Amino acid sequence: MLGGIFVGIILFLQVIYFNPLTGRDSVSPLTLSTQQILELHFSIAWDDNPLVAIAEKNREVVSTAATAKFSEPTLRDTTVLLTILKNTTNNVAGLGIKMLSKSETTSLIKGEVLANSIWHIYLPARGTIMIDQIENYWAYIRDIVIRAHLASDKSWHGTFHRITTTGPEPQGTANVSGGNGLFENFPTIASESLTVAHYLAGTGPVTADGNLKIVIPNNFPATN
Amino acid sequence: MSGIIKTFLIGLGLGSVGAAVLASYIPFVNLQREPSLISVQPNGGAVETFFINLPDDRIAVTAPETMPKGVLSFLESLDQHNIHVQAEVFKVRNQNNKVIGIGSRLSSSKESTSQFVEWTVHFPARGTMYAKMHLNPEPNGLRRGRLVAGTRDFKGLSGSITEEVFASPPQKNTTAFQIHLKAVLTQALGDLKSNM
Repeated sequence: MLGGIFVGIILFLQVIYFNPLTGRDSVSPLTLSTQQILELHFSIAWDDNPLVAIAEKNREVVSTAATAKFSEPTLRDTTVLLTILKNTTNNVAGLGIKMLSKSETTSLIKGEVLANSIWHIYLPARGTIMIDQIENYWAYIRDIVIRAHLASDKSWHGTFHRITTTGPEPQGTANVSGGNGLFENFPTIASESLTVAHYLAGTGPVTADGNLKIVIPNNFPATN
Repeated sequence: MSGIIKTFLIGLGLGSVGAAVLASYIPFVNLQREPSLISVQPNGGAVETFFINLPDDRIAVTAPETMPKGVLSFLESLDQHNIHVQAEVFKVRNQNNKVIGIGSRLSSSKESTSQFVEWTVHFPARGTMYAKMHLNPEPNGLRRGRLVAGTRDFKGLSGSITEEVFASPPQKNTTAFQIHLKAVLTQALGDLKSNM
């Protein structure tokens, strides 16, 4: 009986892990948009050092991106990323602060490891925006994190590209609210994707790039 | 079919169904919640005040020259990249001094399109407020602003946000200053009508 129960649990986990219907979106829903798209890139430096530990050690400085984690119970499942945003020609395009919290609506049975994330972004000569999105990290965990932990060298190499944004808009896009500057009173939509080439089980992504695509409304004022 | 195989198959069914039931009902994420300390104004609006103790609650700042010890920052000034903005990230507390969220403050007095001060305050268990503040504070130091957008619990709300900085009594632990963010929020008018 116990052997049967054990095999049953393993079988269930295999179905969840190999379910081909979950976490496969690699094409942005904005691809079909006829409007202009603003594309921003950022590096992901998800190191495992909790910010409190860094703060206790010494003054800490970073080159292009920094991630903070917290020890407070209410922020246990929250991460903050402060990063430089670059455009498609790899020139600095702005500054972004991402606040990401794990979501209680996470459901492994549906292939959903969800997070509520907020971007607070400043783009020189354009203004500020806030992006509200729900992201699904199941494909990232299944295809990279689990495989890296199971590998003998505790690492993963390959090509991974997925759209992480799944909402809150019904078509699977994020809400963008304009704050100041040209974006004021121009609500629009956006989508975020994640590209990873190298991951270490102990430290996290080694080569990883985030990408934000923001739809520029047709009636948006010219920037120059 | 032998008894052993029957028992194995019953166990197999129990194991897979049991795992599915557990996966459906056991929450994988259980966010810690603190009570929302909200009061109601006589003329309408839910009032909630949030607190930031400085310098302890400062997490990150973009200006390295003003960076105190233990706070994340960039290696160089961002002015060289034409980023004329002061960005700060803080922990945000409730009236019981419990950390309940994260706040980011962006401000610029050099921006070519428009000068600005704004806040994004993110509460993991509740949602996010995005507020736009007046550039110049009042003579008494109070800076007024308004909610531009909200998510989850704050979605569809409108109202005002004020920012005020107070000096702490010198003997009171390590806090030198305290920022008070006061939100007075109401349901959007359309929602009120639909409920009448």
